[in-house]
Amino acid sequence: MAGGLSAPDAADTRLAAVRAWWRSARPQRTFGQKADLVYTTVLVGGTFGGMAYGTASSALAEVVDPASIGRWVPLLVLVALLAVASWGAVQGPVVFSVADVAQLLGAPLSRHDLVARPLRRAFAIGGCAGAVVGALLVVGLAGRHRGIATLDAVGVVVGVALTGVLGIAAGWAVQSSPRWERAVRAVAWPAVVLAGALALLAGAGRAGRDLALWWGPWGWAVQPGSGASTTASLAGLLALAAVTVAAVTLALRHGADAPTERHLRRAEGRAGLIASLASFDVRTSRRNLADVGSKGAARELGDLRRLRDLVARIAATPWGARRTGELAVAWRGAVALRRAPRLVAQAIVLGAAGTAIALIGARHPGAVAVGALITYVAAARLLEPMRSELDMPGRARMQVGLRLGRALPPHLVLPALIVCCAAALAAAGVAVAGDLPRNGGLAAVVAVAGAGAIACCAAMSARRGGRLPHEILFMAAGGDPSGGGFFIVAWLVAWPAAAVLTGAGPLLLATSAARGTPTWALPVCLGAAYVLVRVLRSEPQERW
Amino acid sequence: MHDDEPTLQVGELRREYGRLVALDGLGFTLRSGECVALIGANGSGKSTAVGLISGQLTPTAGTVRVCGHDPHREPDGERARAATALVPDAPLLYQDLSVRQHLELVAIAHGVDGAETSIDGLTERLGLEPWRDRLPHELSRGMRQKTQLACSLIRPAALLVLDEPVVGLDPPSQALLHELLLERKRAGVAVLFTTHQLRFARGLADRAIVLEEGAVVDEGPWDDVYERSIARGWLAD
Repeated sequence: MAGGLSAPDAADTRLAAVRAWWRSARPQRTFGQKADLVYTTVLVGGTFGGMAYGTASSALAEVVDPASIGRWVPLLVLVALLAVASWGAVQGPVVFSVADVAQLLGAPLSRHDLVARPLRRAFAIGGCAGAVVGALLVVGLAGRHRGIATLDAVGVVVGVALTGVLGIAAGWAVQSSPRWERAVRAVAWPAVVLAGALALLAGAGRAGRDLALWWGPWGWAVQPGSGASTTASLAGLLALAAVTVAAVTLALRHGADAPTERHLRRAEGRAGLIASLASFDVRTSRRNLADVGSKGAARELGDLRRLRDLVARIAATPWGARRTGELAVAWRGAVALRRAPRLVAQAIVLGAAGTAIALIGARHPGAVAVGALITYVAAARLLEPMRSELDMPGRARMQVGLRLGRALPPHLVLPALIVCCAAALAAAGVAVAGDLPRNGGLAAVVAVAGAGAIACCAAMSARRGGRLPHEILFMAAGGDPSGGGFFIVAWLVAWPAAAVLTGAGPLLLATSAARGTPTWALPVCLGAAYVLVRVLRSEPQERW
Repeated sequence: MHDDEPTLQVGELRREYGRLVALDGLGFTLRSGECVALIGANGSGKSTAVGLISGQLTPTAGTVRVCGHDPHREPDGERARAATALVPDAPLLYQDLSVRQHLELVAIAHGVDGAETSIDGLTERLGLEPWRDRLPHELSRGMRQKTQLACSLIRPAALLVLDEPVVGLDPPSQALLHELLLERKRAGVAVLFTTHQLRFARGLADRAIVLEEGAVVDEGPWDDVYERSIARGWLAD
């Protein structure tokens, strides 16, 4: 019998016995195997790292300098922290299997001790990941022969590593407590908006920069790389260390507080996630994770009578009489979005941020591409009703008498409208701030039209059903020298890349012409959107 | 735990899922050697009640005490878990552990004395002997259910909670389960189970609680509840 059976009395002795039994039932790597793994990792990392260092250093040096560290990195660190904390709402740093929940968490073993070891491991991983990011920042800072003082380099690495640990502590807090989950959900987006505003303010002068660097641990972490004085850097790092130690202590002390139900839901979510990923079903994977998070109180739908009356009036017109099915689908989309005001608000923030980034950074193709991608994410978040339609393609025909192809474009109307409105708001804001690029008026109009085209690309991606088609898998397995990776990655990034082309391309055209005003950039955008809508409309019922 | 203290005390138990009230106002006590059947249609709240009592779900309101301990608070929950053996409605097994290894793990986790003899006896009794070195994916649904049942029976418990225990079991296995539960009752274990099958509960349950849409609509001695249920026609066997 593996490990032998004993009958220890105390919970800690039993847990030690269980661990010893696990080790014998599931043989671990020997020391030699572990050493071999470390040796191979160091060798491969050293060889390829050395080869890639020069390129990485040049590329990072383009975007990382003390000014950008002081202005943008606190925002990015905050977003990363919130992402790690929000990850606790769907999985988190300590996730058991369903069988673990039944057999180990259901046994009279100390929850505290069961959780402590994986939690400590997660802290170590968070710290290492942070240190790697910090090291990359140092590589960028030292690039272009700028160099960096040893103390500052160490400070950046330590600061970002501590932030990694802090992120894990935040993730555990959210994972173990519904109260923390609600709190992070409530503050996440306002905090990102505020951080964005502070990043903009930081560009205006010394006071704004100091505020961006001092308003939270995300700023304290990068003080040493921002050109701040040694005293300020040290103070920031000490404050960050104090907060991190407190957070880690609290997390370890309250390791037993997570209710079994939260562990069980995450375990079930992970099992579903693994199963759906094994069949390359991204949409179901996402839904598996979304189902884990708390839903909160269901929202009352409220009175949509005015909108319903408006739809009825349009349907009564000769134009509307021929489109009652499409109007019904658009109405259904309005009802769905009315139930999810948070999602609409997020899409507006993302759409506006993407457009603002594209317009302000119009001279840098990379910035315009990033802006287009953010707008793509904004539109994609609003397309859940379309995905639901595609999950049950016969429903539109049954309920509103439309074939699938005719039901898809009306699903796009509201998301495209919302993203375009957000883009228009952002363009107006950038214009007021005086940050519009060359050919400003045209650029603003193209940015708004581009947002519509980007929404069409997001719809085209949703149309694919979220599951990697078998023919792609066969092609990947058969004809791809990379072993399938190239085909799969190409399939995944095809529509985001198309969104960058249709959104960023015309904007770059509109702003980069040395002479004259290239007004044809606008028809390029509108033409792309029109073609994509026609493709959506031609979706055959039979494919599904 | 005092001698006169009930093994299980449930008071005004309530659980909401968003706007849905899955269980409301469930309250009863269960003493050593007693058996209570929770019966009701699909969606009546039986599994929610089992989840709340076993500590797997967190109640919105109300109390659960197993041998005087709250299963929803640590470290008190550790003592409640030591006293509660749960058989969930679907087997929750490790895919890489054999039947025997599952029993070994549970025996170690619960500090079972003389586990090897108990494992041999139990696997033989449940007809798992030929399958004891098989992995769960090599077993039928019924065999997996028996493995889960064995995991709950190998360990000491003051309270045995079973959620739809007969689902997936053939008639001889159901009869064996009936017999095993009666033995546990006679040994002083308090037994709580949910079922649709009134025939299985007959001769086993001392009392019954009927749930409908999360609310208790009838309760009392088994024979009385059974007759009333049949008379109403909505729980015919």
